[in-house]
Amino acid sequence: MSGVEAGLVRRCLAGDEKAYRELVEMYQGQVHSVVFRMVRSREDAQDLTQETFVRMFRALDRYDLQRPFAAWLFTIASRLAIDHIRRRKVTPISLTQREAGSDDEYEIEIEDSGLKPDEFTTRNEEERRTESLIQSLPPHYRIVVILRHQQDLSYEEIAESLHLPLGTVKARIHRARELLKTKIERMERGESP
Amino acid sequence: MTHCPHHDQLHEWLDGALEGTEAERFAIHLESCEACAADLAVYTRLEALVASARVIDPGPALTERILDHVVPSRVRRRFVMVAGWAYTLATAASTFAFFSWVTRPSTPMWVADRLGQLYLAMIKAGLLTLHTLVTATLRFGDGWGLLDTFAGRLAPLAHAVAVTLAQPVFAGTVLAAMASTVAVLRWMRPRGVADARGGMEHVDLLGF
Repeated sequence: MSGVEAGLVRRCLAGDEKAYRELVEMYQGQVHSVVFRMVRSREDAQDLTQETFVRMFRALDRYDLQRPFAAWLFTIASRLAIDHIRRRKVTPISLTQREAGSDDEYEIEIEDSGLKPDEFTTRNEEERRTESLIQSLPPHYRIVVILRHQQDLSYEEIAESLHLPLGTVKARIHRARELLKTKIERMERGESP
Repeated sequence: MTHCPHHDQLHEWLDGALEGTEAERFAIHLESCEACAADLAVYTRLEALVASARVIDPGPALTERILDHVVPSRVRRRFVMVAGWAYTLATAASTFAFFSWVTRPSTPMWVADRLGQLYLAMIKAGLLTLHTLVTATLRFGDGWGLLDTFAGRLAPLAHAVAVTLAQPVFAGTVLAAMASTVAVLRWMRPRGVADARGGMEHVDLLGF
């Protein structure tokens, strides 16, 4: 942990309320970005960010200052986000399908992402494309890519955060790279990712 | 573009996992292998793209919302505010109920009756106390008999307490008060790691 973070943690433990604000302001954006890119809903992302900090501050007095603070915080955030995705209700949208060679119709259900049109408004085309690429990954690949390349966590820290074997984390990063490569090539050919 | 048999090493190269001669050998391979060089360029660009994704920060509104839930003085203030409103509403409701009851025509008679019973009970209690003291004084020399006397004299009082406790309204009130006390004490207890992290233990990461 950096000296700044360790100092802030100590001040929080000593009851310095300014330190609470500094710690929240330092990590709020990063935590919210990770969570938002996982759950894809503004309201849920804000709720989960708040819950991440509540749990972090509650456990702060037992926190080992030798451990990287960001990794610990993202452990809480990513677990909450993954838990939320697992619990999130699927909004059924009925679609009638017919099997080839059969008169029987059946309904399929697809997940409503809950996205509003303005939720992907980004500053420019490059950002929009980047967001689209990240969002196109399945959640278990998306989280490792975000933690690795956006939050700069090491493989070991990601493994610890997600309670996964190191080999699995590496395999997922490799697989995610392959997927992203395929998708960007498709995008450049003018197809959807 | 053809797939290179050394493609898997490209990931290790990107991870920085290749060392020494392996790294040197793969660097030489990259200079001669068009497929790996092209893939490396794409992966490097992708990583830069993902890393450049902007931080989505909702700003001060979320900061204040979080601080309201974590800063001890704000948490206390919020609790006091909620408790204050609850107390105010409870006081208003009970005052309204009390005055509604007092203004009923049958209430004065009921109050006079209960007051009469109360005075009678007070006189009886006074007489009992006086009698007990006198008897105890007279039997002062009886040693253990003194305790017997007290026990015998206090039996009606114990009986009265037991009868009172058996009243559903009284017992309910006592139980509610005890439950409230336990809840407040529980809320005020020091938080431990197991408790603080307990909420997350159920998170099942299988499949992720």
